Amino acid sequence: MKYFLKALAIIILIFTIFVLHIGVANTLPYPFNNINVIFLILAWQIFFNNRPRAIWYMLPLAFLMELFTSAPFGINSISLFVSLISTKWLLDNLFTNRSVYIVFLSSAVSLAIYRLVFITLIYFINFFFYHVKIGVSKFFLDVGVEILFTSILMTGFYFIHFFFIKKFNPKYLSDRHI
Amino acid sequence: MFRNLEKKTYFYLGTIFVVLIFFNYLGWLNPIKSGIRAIFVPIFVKSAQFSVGLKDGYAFFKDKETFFDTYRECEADRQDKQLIEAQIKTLENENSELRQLLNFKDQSDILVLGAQVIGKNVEGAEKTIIIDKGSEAGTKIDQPVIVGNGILIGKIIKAEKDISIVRLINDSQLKIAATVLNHDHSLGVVEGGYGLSVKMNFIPRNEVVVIGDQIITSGLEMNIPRGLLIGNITAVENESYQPFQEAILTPSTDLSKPYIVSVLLTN
Repeated sequence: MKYFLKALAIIILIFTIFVLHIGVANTLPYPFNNINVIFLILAWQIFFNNRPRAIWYMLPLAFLMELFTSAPFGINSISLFVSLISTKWLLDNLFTNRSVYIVFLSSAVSLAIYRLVFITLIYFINFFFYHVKIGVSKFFLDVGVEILFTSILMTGFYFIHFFFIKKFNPKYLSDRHI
Repeated sequence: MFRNLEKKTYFYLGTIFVVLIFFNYLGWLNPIKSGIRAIFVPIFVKSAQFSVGLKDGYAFFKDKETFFDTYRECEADRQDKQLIEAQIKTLENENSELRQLLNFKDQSDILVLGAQVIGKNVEGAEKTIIIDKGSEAGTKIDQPVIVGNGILIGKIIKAEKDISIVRLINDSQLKIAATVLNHDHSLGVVEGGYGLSVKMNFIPRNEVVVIGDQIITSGLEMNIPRGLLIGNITAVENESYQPFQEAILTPSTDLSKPYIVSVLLTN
């Protein structure tokens, strides 16, 4: 029963994340509709919780994204997978500090890796299989907007996590105050 | 130990992705995909309806005076358009009679498929919309998509079994062969990627193009018939050092709020 409830909770969570992503993409005006909610939440799990199991959420979310996108199947999933693994490596080895700047920078770098892998795979498919049209300069303008706003939101999440979840958490209070 | 667990996680995830991609291209995932789309399509529809309603409400309350001024202009335009419509019908009848006299072969009627817009592309880098008709209903890649009686809004770029994805004319990756309704019938290529506007390139510099001229599809592109309205010219760039002139045009319809569209089944 316990495992059933846990599985149900995970399914509802994934459903909610994807519905939120649809809502943001369809409802908000440009440039806010470029915010990548799925990436935001997955990256948040890696930044703040540091649990490799959390990365399993990527699988159903990436699959759901593939169903409603114009890119060939698999491009988004592979790009997301590679970018999140790269993010984890960067956070463990390069951006080890957890300041505001690092959160913003690592979020921006991760999204840049995501889009770089995405466009590389598109060119690969164009070379070997069929032709998928892409206009590089204008594509990166939209991507730049996506990186900027998603990173800003990630930084906002960091503030919420740091001040309200961590700082006001009683277990972090010093013994001197007891 | 923690690192080993991480590496195992990545390995298993990578393997599952590869297997899923392989199964997809074999077609084994189609029932699962259809089932999941059936669950999420109503959510997309509600979200799209809410978005359109929100934009309409915002446009109204943002500037009430402009709204009423525009309404009065539309009323005045409507009367002029009624007269033009009557003249067009007369000309159409005359054209038909003349064609019959000259034994012209009739152009085959293009089949039109109505569809509802259920949302936008969830992957935000492209300006595309999703419609609720797919290859089962007859849609194919490169078919034009219109609103109203003939305003082009885009082309189908992906046709799944139950949905299709339409790239809008203001997307940077779409190019359409077009002609200007001016004295010279200037030819050019319309492409997007300029925010809300669309640009028409490769217009010969010696041809006169003015603000207000209408742009239609030229019919020189396969699957896109001639005569679909694209937009009106709002600015012209004609620099002496450029080999061609460019025109910036505003689409004839609001591309952020299409709700019911028609697919021309041209192929």
